[in-house]
Amino acid sequence: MKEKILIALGLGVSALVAISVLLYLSVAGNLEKIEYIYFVLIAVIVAGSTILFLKKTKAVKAGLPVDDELAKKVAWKAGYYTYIATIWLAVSILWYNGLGHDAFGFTPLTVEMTVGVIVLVSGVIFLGLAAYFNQQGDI
Amino acid sequence: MKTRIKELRARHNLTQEDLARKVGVRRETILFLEKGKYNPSLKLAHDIAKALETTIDELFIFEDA
Repeated sequence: MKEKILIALGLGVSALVAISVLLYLSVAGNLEKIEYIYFVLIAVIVAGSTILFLKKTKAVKAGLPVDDELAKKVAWKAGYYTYIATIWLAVSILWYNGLGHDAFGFTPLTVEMTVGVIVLVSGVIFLGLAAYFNQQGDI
Repeated sequence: MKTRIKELRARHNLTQEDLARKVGVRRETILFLEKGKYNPSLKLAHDIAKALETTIDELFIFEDA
């Protein structure tokens, strides 16, 4: 029962995010380049998590567990690598804003952009790594 | 590591899904176990051996490196 509620909640949140983005796009007018990147990242996360939740729904319907020792290992390892990657991403943005701006004239990212990029990219990295480790067996 | 899970599962007329349900894991985990691509915990090895009415020794064949 708890699993069903969590899956329904996950699918609901994914649907709400997708609807919010579509509503925003319908009233936003001209978009900045960074916003296109945000929407692509959001689309990847929504699509990935929807596939994941649908797979879990299928397992629940078949009377199978959605989580086991291998799934937990995959989640832990993907989470760990995502943490490391996120730290490097944050450091890269610092270099981009500092060195990139001073030496190459790049437009520095604002705090909002930086937070958005870090949150969304780490989500994409986690989903990608989890999908990869799920194909590997022992990790 | 090699396993005899596939052979013993067939002998008991169980599908991967049936065995997964019996031991409380996902079907993918049984698939990786049969391919020898996953080393299970001692508890899972014990549960599978029990479900297939055999022993852990009979189920998993370790090759010396």
